[in-house]
Order: sequence, then structure tokens, then C-alpha cells
Amino acid sequence: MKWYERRDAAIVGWNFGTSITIIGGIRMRNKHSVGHLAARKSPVGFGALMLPRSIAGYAAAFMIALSYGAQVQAQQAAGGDAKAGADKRSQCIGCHGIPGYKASFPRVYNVPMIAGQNAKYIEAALTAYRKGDRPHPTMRGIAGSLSDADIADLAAYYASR
Amino acid sequence: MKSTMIVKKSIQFLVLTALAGMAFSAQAKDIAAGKAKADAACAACHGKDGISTIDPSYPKLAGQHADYLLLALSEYKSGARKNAIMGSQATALSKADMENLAAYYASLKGTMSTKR
Repeated sequence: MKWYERRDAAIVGWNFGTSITIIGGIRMRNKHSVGHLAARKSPVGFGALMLPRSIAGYAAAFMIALSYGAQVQAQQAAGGDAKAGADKRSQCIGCHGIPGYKASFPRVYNVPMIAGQNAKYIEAALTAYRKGDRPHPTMRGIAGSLSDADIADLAAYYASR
Repeated sequence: MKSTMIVKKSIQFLVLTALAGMAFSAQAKDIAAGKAKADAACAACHGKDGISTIDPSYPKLAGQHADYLLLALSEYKSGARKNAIMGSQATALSKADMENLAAYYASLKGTMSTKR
């Protein structure tokens, strides 16, 4: 059994094993309940299979959940959040934040300056490292740990410096 | 006493030759030739002064470290970095071209820094 959560809305769902997921409804953070499971307290856990109060209500709630998620993603794609990026830069500053710092593996050279670089380029570079289109092992490791949203936020942050 | 003088003199000699060698290799990169090449081959995308305005997904180059620019160009040329545009651009460049371009762009005043 698993409780699904997004950043701004909690989706009530039950996961049976690995393949079957039943989404019962969605609970907004602002306590405005869009829909809830009729038999939420069912001890067996098969609540979603029982008749909910209003099937239409659940369908609506589910659609709202989907479109809400899409909206959040669209916002992140359009441009990262520089403020959020500031909190995610711990992996960057140890090399890119030190004047004269040189990478020592696989070759010795000054690591590029990234503060003040174009945001879209930083995104493209990180995405290329993550995908393996750029060879640097350290950067591939770091970019591999970043989500699309992390990359957009970091790009926005460094472009604004 | 005499032997320490000899050691001192030889160290002086070695240091001076090393410095002269470094100065010579720095001069070997021709910034003017780099500018000529840059105006012809790079400026259309990376901007006349190395500050791209045409498309924000193209990087600014002005003021970037020369050794990093050289590494990037050689990786595009070898195919270690995969990028359709830069791959074909870098193929047309010789090693001297790349060194001159890197020296030229590094010599420009840019907006980039090591700010955290």
C-alpha cells in the first residue's frame, strides 16, 4: 500500500504489488477535498473497488489530478526557479565556484565558468552529460542525479548570477 | 662554497629557460588569427563579441577559460561530445585554429564568473 503525493496535491491511491495501482481520489493541500474514497477505512484495503459515492466525482478528480500535474511540469519546462536552484547548487560550487579550480581527471584544465552563462545552454549541457552525449565522468555522475526540474532550476540560478 | 654557487646558478638558468618557454608557447596562440576565424565561422551563432543573442541555447564564449574552450572543441571534433552543429563545425578546424580561437575568446571581456 502506498500513499501517492505530488508537491501541491496528494493523490490517494493504493498500490497492490508492483503492477496494479488504484487511484481513489485527490486531496488538495488547501483542505478543499475534491473527492475522497467512500470506503477509505476499509480494513481489507480494496476500498477503491467498492462503489464510491459518485463515480463521476472520482473521474473528475482524477482528470483534475492529471491536468494539475501536467501544469506543474509545463511551468518547470518554461523556465526554472532560480531560488530553488540556489538550494540545489551544493554539487556545483566545489568546482565551479572556486577561482582557478582545475579538473584533474581525465585531463587537467580550468573548469568552465557557469555563473552568467545562458540558462538554456546550461540546461542543454547538463542534459547532454546526463544522456551520455558528453564524456566527462564526474559531470555525467552529477547530471545523472538531477531531474529535469533540478536542471532547469540550476540553469536559472546560475544564469542570474 | 663554490659548489653551492654552481647549484644556484643552474637553478636560475633552469627557471629562466622554463619561463621563456612558457612565454613562447603563450605567444604561439595567435589571437588576431583567432578573431579572423571567429568572425568567419563562429560569430553567426555565438555573437560578434562572443556573447550569443540569437539563441539562448548557444553558450556565451567571451571570457571563458581558453583550455576549457580548447577541450570542448577537440571533443566536438573527435566525436566524444555529440552535437550535430558543433561536430561538423569543429571537423573543419585544425589544431592551430582551435588554439587561436580559444585564445581569442578567452581574451574577450565576458559576463561569466566563478560566483557561487
